[in-house]
Amino acid sequence: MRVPASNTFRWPNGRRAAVSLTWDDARPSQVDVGIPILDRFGFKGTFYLLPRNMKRQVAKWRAAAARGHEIGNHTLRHPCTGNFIGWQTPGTMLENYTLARMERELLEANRILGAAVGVRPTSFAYCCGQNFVGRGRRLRSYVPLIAKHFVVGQAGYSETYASPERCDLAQVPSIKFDNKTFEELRLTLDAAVTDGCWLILFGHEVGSARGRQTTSAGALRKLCENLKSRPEIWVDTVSAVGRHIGAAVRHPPARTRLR
Amino acid sequence: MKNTKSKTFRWPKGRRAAVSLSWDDARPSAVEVGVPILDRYGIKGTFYVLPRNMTRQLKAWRAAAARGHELGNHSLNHPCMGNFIGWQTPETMLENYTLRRMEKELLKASRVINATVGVRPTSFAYPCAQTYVGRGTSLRSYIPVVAKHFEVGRSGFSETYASPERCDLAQLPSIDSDNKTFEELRETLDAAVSKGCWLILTGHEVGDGRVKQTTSAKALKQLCAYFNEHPEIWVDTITTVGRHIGATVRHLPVPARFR
Repeated sequence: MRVPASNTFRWPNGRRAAVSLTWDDARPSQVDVGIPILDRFGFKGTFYLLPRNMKRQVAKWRAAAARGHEIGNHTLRHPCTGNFIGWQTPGTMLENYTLARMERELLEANRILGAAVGVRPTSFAYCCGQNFVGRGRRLRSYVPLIAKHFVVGQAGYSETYASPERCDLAQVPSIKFDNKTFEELRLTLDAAVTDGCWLILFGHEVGSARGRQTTSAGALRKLCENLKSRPEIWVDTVSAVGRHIGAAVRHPPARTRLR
Repeated sequence: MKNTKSKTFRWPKGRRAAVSLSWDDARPSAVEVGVPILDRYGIKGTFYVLPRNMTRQLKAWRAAAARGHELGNHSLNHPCMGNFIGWQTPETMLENYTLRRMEKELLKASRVINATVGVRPTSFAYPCAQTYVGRGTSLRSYIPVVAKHFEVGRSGFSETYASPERCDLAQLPSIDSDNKTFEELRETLDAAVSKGCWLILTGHEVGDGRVKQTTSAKALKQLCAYFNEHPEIWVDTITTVGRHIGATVRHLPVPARFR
């Protein structure tokens, strides 16, 4: 079945697809290794900073933001499912959160980041790709909170990229960047371009490809070279691309027969 | 911070950990190749069947259920996010669903399975591991609907296994068994066993492990042989293990300091 909207949506300036490069947690190698690579090619990345990590390199993050890289929100304490027993505590696990506490902490993280780097975040990345608080019959999604306070919310560990006509900006899918070769990334990129979609890659560290949760610096360089040679691909921050989609696409309420 | 409950939970009969093997969609090779392997080793699997696929091999599925394999619910139409543009339609995409329609269709899928195989499903697997309906500020999680109608809900693409003391039975994590060697699976298994956790594996087809979405038949045989030699690992269906946890572990209301 055809998606009727696909005939009407257009990427700006005749581009055929969009790509955003993102990293989570404010790991040191992002400002030390990743951002210099992006800067060399003139690309803007999106960085979802944990306040406690950001504070260790405030000057560098402020400089990165001043050069146009996007600073996004990644919560205050990185809460995830309690099944991560060696890492999550009763005080951080999502099963023990409420929507009120989540909202409070998201806004507090925004305040800390805004004060430290001078820009108030407009995008958010779900920690561990998880978007709930509570458990069982009382569990609630916190996607509506993200929709309320941010232009874009980024989910992770997705099996596909975002369709501009269909995606929910409050939970756009993103695909793993870490521990992949340029050739693997290229396959995904080419599929996204063919489909006219928005590919968001998410990583953690930048450096040796064999390190755990690490985007290969070599693969990142080759990817930037490839993107530089293909002006039909729009490379920009998550908020910049999300804003364009938000202004161009309207989602009417679902038809009655689908309710 | 210590999880105070970890001292009280015990697996039955002195076992140290639990494993469940599960496959989604009622793919032909799951019942033709996978079930005979499990039967040879006396291991019970859990199969999340789509009614439309299951009815093509009704006799084989009925026989599998009669031998003790669990048949679970995997929804009626396999709704996932609309970003799967070549596959999901406006009718099936979760962004166009409501909680009411989801509940109606989950119950209908259970009725079809019960009417044709004679078993009423007590566990559910989220298609594409997605747990919501709608979009943005009006998005809702349907995990509470699953908690209401099933003993266990299984999620997917998780980064870890389930902690019996902390897991939410309405959205258990599971790890891919597709396209992995026995050695790779063994590494995850050993980690789960050393932590006393419940490892749930999720696959689709069973056969040549190089083919997309296929659990290697060879790796499955090696894994089953390993289980036969390791009685300290409890291998059983998802509902059986989930029931044991549900009867043993109580979750107190969230403490006021976390609200």
